[in-house]
Amino acid sequence: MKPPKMNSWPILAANIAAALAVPIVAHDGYIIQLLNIAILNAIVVLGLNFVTGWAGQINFGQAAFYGLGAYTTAIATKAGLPWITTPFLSVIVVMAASLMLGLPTMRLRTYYLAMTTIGFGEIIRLIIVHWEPVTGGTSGLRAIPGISIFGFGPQGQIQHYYLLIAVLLLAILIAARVRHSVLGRAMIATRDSEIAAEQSGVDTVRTKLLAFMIGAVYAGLAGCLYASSIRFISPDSFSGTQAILLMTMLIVGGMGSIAGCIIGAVALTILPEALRFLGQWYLVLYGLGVIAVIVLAPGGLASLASLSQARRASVH
Amino acid sequence: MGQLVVNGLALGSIYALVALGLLLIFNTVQIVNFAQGQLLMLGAFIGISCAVTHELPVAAAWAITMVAMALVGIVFMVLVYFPLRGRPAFLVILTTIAMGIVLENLALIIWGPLPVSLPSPVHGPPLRFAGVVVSMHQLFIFATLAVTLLLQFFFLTKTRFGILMQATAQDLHTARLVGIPVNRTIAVAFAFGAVLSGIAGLLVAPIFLAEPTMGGSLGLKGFVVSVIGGFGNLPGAVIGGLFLGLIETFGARYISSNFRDAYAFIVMIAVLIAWPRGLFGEKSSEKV
Amino acid sequence: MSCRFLKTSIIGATAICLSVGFAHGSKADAASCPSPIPLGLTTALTGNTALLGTQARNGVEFAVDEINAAGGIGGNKLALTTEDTGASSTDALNAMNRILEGKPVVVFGSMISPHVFAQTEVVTKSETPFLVGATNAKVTAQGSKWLFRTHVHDGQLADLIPEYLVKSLGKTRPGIMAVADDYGLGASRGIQASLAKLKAPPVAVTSYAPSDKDMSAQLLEIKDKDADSLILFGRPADVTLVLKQMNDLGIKLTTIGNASIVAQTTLNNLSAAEADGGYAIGGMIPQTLSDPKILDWSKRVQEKYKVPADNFTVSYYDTVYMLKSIIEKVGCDKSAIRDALAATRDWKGMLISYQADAQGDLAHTLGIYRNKGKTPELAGPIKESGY
Repeated sequence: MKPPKMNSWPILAANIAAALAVPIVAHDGYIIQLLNIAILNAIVVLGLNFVTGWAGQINFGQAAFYGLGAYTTAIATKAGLPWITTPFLSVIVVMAASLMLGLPTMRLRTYYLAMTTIGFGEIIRLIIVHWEPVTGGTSGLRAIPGISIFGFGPQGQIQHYYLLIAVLLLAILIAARVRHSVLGRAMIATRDSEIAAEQSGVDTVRTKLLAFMIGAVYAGLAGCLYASSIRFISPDSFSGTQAILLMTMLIVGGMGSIAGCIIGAVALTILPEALRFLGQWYLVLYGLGVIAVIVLAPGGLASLASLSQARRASVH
Repeated sequence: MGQLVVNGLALGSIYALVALGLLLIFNTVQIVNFAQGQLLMLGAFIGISCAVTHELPVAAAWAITMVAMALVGIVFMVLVYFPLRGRPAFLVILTTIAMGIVLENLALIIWGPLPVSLPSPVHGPPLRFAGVVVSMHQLFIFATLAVTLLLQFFFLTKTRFGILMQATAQDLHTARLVGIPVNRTIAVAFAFGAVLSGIAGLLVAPIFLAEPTMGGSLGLKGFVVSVIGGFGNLPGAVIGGLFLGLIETFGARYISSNFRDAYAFIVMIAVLIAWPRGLFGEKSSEKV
Repeated sequence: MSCRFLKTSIIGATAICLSVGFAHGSKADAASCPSPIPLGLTTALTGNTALLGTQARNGVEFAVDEINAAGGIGGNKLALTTEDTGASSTDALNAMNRILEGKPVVVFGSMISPHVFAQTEVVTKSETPFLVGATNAKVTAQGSKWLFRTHVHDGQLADLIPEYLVKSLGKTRPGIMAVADDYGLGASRGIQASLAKLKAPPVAVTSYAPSDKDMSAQLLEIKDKDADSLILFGRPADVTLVLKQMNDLGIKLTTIGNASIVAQTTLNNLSAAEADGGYAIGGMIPQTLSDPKILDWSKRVQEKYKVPADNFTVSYYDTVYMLKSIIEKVGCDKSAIRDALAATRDWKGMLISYQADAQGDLAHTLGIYRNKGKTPELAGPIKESGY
């Protein structure tokens, strides 16, 4: 059970204020770019949370949806379509893909679902790599036009930062609304026990499918923004390794908790950069760290941040 | 075309061995070890350390590797199984994936990224007939798979301890209640599971060379085989493995070499859609 | 809270003023360089391209250490900051952003083209000379006047390999095998185009994933379609497997490809029979020459880094020395360095001479090699047409 929204408003406000103040201290450059990527990752992880955190379905295909959104946007804008069409196109493409993946697989059990989503991600990646005339293949697509609505668009990293913060807030708000809606409760019920949920009248297949699609839409829109702000994409940013990274962001941050998604995404985007000096050892420590979190702090960093939340989270 | 069959079956045998190791562990503790490929890699490198770095005879290298892998399996059990008992399946999946990452990068630090070769235990000119070449090593792979399968079958069904392991696999709690040394059977499962992957590594290194990242792809194919064959049974794993080896090789030759890795997943997804419990079904029942 | 905010903004503003002042300072005095001279390098030190990426670090670092040991440039030592790009282009971009924060005089990029593509815009915006070894032909077609490539590229290989195969070796029915990453697929496309122009289209075009181990399907397809030669484009790890398995299957084809065929790391894992006869055209490698100074250099690099030097190590090493001679002439003003790079004429490196063309490519000489058993032999240098 999450604590009632009332208590978290001051914390949320403080975080927003801190986030808005960052560019004043750290002007245009490395940190802002890094935070922009972290915010995009956070949106993707928020999407993953619907599927894995709330509906309890393991999903290694989230990076593929991220990539589909990015590539749809890049291909569309480079073909001359106005930017405003790209969010809609991205959503359509990922919804179609998530249906293609979801419909046949919603009845599968955990290990089979894991393998299927891995397979899905691989197949998408292979298509991107080998469909060179359209996707640029392994060289990727560059000089992607930026965000432009009626000729206006963010210029420079800092303006993108504010835009992305705004989108993230919207994503959080929607997630919170869904969580406390009928659909949200159905997702949690499905995660806790599919059989019990079915007995209570929940259509678990439909619930899982909806969770999948919402998660995919989050990732697709994040991909659209990624392509339009970083303006260069290549298949290696959406690989199976990235899919695993997204899952660990969710788990390390705190699965099932909206704050956890943000914490996990920001932490695991910044940490590899901050710890680059460790070289090869970084990945060893990363792996051990993930195991440590899973074993010792299953609620993730979000649960450590507040003890009372941890007590309630462990009850589920 | 005959050559494709031979090579496909040789590759498939490796996949089958990985799957057999996976199944041994899964059947006992309901864990799919996503680091099974990295265990294969570890086996290959331990063998290379013995045979190449320390220039021991190949047979000694094999023996030492198998013992070492058994120990690795038990360490793995302590690190992964005990802390995560009773936790939801996907946390276990993530943990084994993380272990795989740790093993792979430790290997990169210890042995470096350059590919290394391992001598085969068998020598001699290849067999040639009907335009097909079969190397001695390929024959050795088939032989090893056959022997392993027979030994495993015999062990599990005819020896007392093996039957105890099957009982543990069917129902852990009842087995414990009845007085079966459950922890011992679990340890044996992990140990043997690791040894099987280690053997696969020793078989792979002479033909495909060994390098620290070799485990990822081979492990993944092993899982696909387990899914196709159904997570329950050994013959399913072997048939699934050989089948996959053939599909990949023929697909790469006659459809497109670009999508070789995709064939495995496409077949797996197709099988799952038609038979959600795998081609040969699985033993464990859904918990209520 | 507001006090801290004020303090931080004052510090921030002061920092901005100081750095602007600093920039003005170095622009006004072109001949004097900061001490130490800051250089930046981003390359893959971890991840699946690390085997290649570390050669860039090896070449640059070895040269920087040598120059510093001899007193630096005009008394100023070089300070090299290296950042790991990892495997993904996003991480490469982050690494470059980090490097640019240190305001280096020159930045070195790696030979991994997707990473360089991701980094070009931000380096161009920072108006810093960008020296790369990335081999995708389109890297220098991006229109950035700050980007220079000091290694031969796939566009040249795509022309020269088919030409040599058809005109000098007399083979007209090649099969192509390329590794399915940017390196291989880009080259494969270029090679197919050149073969078409030479009226010798390939009988089979195949690829394999970088992690693939079994190459028999591709080899058998090429054999079944009656090829008389094999064009092989990959990394040493996979090229080793192709040559090994080709020998195991008893397939005998004239093989020509990129430098991986004669790379030390490939030959270390092949028998003499498996390696013998393979041709390679690519950036020149040090191992085949009899010049004792070059062989000594090669040995010292191997001792230090535990990995044999390859064509990239040489190229990056040369690039640092090229930079040294430029800085000695024009100082550390970034625009002046850029102009000098663009005006490079016949600068003699360790194995080849460098000359800048309009696009920013400086390397136009390649080597033709042939394996005699496990030893590569230099058949001769070969120049891009027009040089």
